[in-house]
Amino acid sequence: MNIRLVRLSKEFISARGRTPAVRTIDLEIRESEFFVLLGPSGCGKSTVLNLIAGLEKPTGGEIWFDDRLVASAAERVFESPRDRNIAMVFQSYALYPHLSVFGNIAFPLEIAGEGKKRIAAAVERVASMLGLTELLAARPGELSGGQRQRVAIARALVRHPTVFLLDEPLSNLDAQLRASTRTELRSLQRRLGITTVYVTHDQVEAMSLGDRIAVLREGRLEQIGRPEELFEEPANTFVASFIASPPMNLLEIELFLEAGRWLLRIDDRELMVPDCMVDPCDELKPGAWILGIRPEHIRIHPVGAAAVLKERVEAVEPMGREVLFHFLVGSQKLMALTAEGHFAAACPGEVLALDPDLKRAHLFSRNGKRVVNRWRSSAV
Amino acid sequence: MTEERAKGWLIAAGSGFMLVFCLTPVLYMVATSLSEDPLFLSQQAGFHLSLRHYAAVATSGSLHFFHYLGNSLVVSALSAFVTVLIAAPAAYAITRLVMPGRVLLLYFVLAVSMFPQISLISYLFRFMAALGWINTYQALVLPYIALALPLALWILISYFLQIPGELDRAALVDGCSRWQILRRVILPVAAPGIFSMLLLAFIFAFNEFLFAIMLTTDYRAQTVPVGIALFQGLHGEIPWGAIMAASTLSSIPLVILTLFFQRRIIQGLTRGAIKG
Repeated sequence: MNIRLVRLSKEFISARGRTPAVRTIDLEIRESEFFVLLGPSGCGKSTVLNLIAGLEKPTGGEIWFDDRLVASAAERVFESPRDRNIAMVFQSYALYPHLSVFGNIAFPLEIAGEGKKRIAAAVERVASMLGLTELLAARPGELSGGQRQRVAIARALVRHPTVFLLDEPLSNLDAQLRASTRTELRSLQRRLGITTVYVTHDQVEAMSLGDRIAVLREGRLEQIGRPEELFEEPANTFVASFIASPPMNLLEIELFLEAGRWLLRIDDRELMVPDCMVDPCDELKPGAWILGIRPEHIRIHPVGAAAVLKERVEAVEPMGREVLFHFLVGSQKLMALTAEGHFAAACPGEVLALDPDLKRAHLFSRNGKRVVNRWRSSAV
Repeated sequence: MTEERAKGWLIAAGSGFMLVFCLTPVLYMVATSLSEDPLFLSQQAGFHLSLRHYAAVATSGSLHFFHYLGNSLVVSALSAFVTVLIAAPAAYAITRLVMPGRVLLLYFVLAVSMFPQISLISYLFRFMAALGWINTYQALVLPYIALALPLALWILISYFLQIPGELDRAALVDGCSRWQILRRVILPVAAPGIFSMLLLAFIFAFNEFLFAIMLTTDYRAQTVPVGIALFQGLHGEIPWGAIMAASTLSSIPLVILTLFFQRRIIQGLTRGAIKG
């Protein structure tokens, strides 16, 4: 099933006035795709999911399932969830507490009026697929979080839905279970080939699960792309700082020309700008810009080397395989990540030399938009 | 340690006081009903165990006790059932559907329930008389429903609000209509609330006196409280023994109901619906 959202918007009207939750979003979710809606809480991602499900009515725009119009504000079309043949897994799992595991999984089929034998066979099938066969008689209250989650998935899949919607399904699991469930979910989706829309605020989940990701903020689409596109070419500072952890450093800098060469100034430190960063970029002007550079693209040297940035360590954060250093460049925070073990002994207060790899840096205008230079676009 | 101990003592003393305070009248009622002479506390009489008053209540046709009890059970059960039948969908609609002014509606309902019964009774009497319903079950059932409905609505709303909205949305996605959600998900999950509401409405109707005495005229519709109040001895004396025996007998249905439903009320049925 191919899902198209056309200028979709949703406002919630309450006594306090209108609150826009989704503001004219256009996007297309392709057949069999694992599509992730990513954003901080309150960005409208769950509302988009509810609109696709038919749990909310759009206040503007249209939703198409293949070439069937399932919701349109202008044409007053609205198909209820039961007519859309969708299935949904909720954050709280929303299992029916008064029914057994069997009863929960069988529920959608019973509502659809299926015969007893067919229901039993279908429940058996999904239960064995998800390893729930032994739990069929248990009540949801007796299950662990991971088991409840599998029951919720089984209930969603038992009907052969054409669209599979998941609303932060992993956020109630502990870290270890979350990682393994993530892998299971991904392979399950691959095997069944159901068009899947997955909502999360966790960029790690989004990056590891999604074929494509849409990043939302305040009801607007910030960027759509494959995980590596979002990582390599963030469209703006919001995406840049939201994807990956630790996030990209964003530094206010000033660009200026001196003797035909571009230089940049952070606080009072001046750095040469490599040609490839600015080369055939028409938009470039002297003035204030934002430099984006990932912590792993800043090399750390002992002082003494001919480095421009000699900064005092503010804090050291060992992360297991790597060590994260926090610096202050003037008044701006800067993080650098190194896998070189011998720096782990560095203490706050010590001065280290930093060598940012500006060839891998990004330039953003002051309003946060990424400046596209042709060299980089062709390289990725 | 000493604080723990003091707490223990205080809790025990408090519970003891509550028990004595609440149960002494009941004990006195039972004791009087079982005593040969109702004035068993006086020095001349003394307590002699006897089932005489029970026998009198059960066998004396002129007391009509079993008529009263039957009337009470039918009227109370009908009132409780219809009250919940109306209140449950109403509470569902108010808690789940988008509806302008629902808070206003709730306060309006609350305001209606504030009318003192005595201020309604004269008009109600004329109304029932005009309908020709005086001394019928419906003359009691209808006002009882009206009186219990606001309370039922408020209690059920608070129960329904505790049921997570994601259950409704899951049921919608699973293909339920709103009625199916109410019948197959909300009502079973809210069963403890429904049962306690049934019980409260039943007890209210069972104990009600004012409407019952005004709107009924004889044993064909009079309920237990009215009937017992009208018990009279052969020569106009007050038959305390029989009154207490009848009172004891008529509290038995309530005690049984409470004991029976207690398990269902306490049972944490919502357990496991969502991540605790």
